[in-house]
Amino acid sequence: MMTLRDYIAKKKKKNRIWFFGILLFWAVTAYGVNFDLFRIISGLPDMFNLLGRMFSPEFSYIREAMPRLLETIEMALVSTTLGVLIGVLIALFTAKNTTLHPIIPKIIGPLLTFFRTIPNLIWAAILVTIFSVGKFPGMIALTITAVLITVKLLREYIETLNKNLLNGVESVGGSKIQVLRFAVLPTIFEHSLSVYFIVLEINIRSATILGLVGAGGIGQILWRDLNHLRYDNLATLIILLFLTILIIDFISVTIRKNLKKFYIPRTSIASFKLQQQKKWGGIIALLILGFLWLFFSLDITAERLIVGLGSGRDIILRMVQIDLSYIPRLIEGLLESVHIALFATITGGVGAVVLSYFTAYNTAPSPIVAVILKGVVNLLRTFPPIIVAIIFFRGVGPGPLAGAMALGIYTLGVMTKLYSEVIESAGTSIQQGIMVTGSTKLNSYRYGILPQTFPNFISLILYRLESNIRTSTILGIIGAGGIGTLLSTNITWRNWERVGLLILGIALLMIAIEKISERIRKRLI
Amino acid sequence: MQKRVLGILITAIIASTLLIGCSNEEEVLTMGFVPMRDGEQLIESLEPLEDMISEEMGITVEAFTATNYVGVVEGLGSGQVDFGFIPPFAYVLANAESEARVSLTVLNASGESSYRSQFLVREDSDIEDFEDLYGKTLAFVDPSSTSGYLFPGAHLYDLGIDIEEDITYLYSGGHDQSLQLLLSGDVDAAVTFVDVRERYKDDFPDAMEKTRVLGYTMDIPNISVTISDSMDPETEARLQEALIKIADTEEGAELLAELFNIHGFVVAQDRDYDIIRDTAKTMNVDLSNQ
Repeated sequence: MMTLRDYIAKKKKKNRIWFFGILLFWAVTAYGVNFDLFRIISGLPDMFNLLGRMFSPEFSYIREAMPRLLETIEMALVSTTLGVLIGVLIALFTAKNTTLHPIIPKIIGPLLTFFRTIPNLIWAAILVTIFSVGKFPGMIALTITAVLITVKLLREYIETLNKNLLNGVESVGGSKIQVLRFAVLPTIFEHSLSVYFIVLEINIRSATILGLVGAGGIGQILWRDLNHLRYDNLATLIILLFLTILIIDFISVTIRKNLKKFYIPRTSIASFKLQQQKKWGGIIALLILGFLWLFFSLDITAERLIVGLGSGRDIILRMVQIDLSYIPRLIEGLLESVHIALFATITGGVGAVVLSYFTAYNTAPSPIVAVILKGVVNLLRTFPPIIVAIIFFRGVGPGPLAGAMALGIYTLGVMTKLYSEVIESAGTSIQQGIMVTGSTKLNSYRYGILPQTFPNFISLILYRLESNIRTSTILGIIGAGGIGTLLSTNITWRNWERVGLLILGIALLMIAIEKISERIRKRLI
Repeated sequence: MQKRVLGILITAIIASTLLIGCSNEEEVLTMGFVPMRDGEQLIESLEPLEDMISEEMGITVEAFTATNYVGVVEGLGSGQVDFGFIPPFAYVLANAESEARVSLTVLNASGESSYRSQFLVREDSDIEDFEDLYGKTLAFVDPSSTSGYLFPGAHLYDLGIDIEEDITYLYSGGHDQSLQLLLSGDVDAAVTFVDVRERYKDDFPDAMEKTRVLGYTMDIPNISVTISDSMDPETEARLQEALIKIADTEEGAELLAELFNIHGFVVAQDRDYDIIRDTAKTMNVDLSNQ
């Protein structure tokens, strides 16, 4: 028999070991990114100076930027619509519990995982070679990523569906297709909609990066202003992006709220069928519209396409012949990227646990504090990590530290937003249950809400880690170290054999991290 | 008891992490290297050059490579980067922003302190003269490129061709991409460094036969060695001397030529770069309020 005293002592010891372990881990990654607090502090005035220059946005610039922004929104809308629709189909056929044959997920699953690890920028770089520069290759690159993200998010959701739901349709004699059509599809419809908006936001952000490789949209002028050090114009563009994402967020919330209120008037079977036909007609029309739109953005001849496909094939053929002699550099780069991503994830994650307490409505000392912090958090989240990295370049010089700090701040923003929402939805019963014993609000957070929602937190932070590794490859382009620096220089020099090896290395790392986090998640939930 | 031990350990870890940077009191110079895209090969390691400069100056030099100059320019501005090998346009930006000053200009293989960029058209093209470019499509490299955008753009303005009105243009993202767009017929003319066809002959073996040069731009100052405003004149003089000396030794010359396509240094004046400022002005790049 374990006494309460023993239990408490044991628990305390366990907590302490965890705390100590994470701290040690953090220290290792901090060492890996050359963390130096004094350097950051002494760089602060320079960083504020740069930030100050950004705070004088040039509003007359909006007129020039607007058409570009619309182009970006167009690219993101078309590619998200197409990508999510295709992704839903693939997810249905590759989820373990709904697939037509158990072999399909085993083959397609790893393939999709591999493709998902390839940074957006690489897709665009290859596609630009095939289809020339402009909107079209950008759209294709975004469609590919939209498909891949949708499949990942939806497949996980489908796999958690209750078996009874599927068996119900199957037991009345439904075929596998009918199970998908009548049991799974209606169930995941609402979830697909929220996936759509998640992907849309991701695509608008990515579209800004694709400007780097000449894929059209707002990214192109953002990149130009950055290179001409026009921080006033840059600020204008960031504000525009911030507003765009805010509007998308608003539309998403409104639609999802109203969807729940929306019932089909079932006065007769005929009216129900008509309703269903309308719904499916709409979805098919959307798909066709998406393809047509994509087709008309493509303004090249068949001859040109053949030439493009030829050079695309040459690049891919060379990428397949990976340059093994480059492995030492690969490992060096990967290690640095892992350090950057881990440091950012731990720093941002720990910060988010603290900040969320003040940001969630139900735990914040006062609602005003919560509202103000929510604004700050949204601001942190909108600043593209690439811009924050440049601010840190000024403060601490280019290198992994700047990249790690930029990613850490971004992680802090995203994690605080997500986790404070989790806290808000945790309900008041736990909190009140503890506060009724006379404890403080802080203690109710520490001993009630935090342990209760911790699995959610771990799950969120593991996703963040994966995406941080991906983002750190993009930061490498502007000189924040890690694998991204190697990747971008080798693309510039057309060393496709090395690019092939680097992509393979990144893919293996991402798959390994995904497997580990899957395991941790399973054990926790 | 255990608690105390743990507490001490934790404090020790945090303290040691925070103090990492403070332990090395000795002076270190940070050097940023932004390669020009026409380099013969990808610079993988700056270590040999680091060692040579360190030995010559007696100060440890730490070097890093960046594909884009923005980070290095910002670093030079705040003194986080002490000196850098940066493109001429980046120097002008750095100078406008923070009083960073140019110390040396690099000499190229022909011993010149400047280079040019070229306008390419397809061999069978009906474009014989710059006049023929009206209404045609042209590929620039990217808006940050001196040789792929600023100079060729200003060249066209000087000839009376308004790039916004008289031609259609796009940014290809790279000199190699520009060549590719020209070869695949997406554009009627492309701007590249001299000579992109030689540099990427493995990738585009038929580029020499299939394209011809329409014309060249004015001379563009070569890559510069730019010094942060925070470096004292004495250190700058030592650095200047060290670099020139390294380029004079057999071993140093070989390394510089092989890795960086650098064939010597010449002391530079700020006014050598006025031509970049004029060009930037023609091209509507605002350098004033920085």
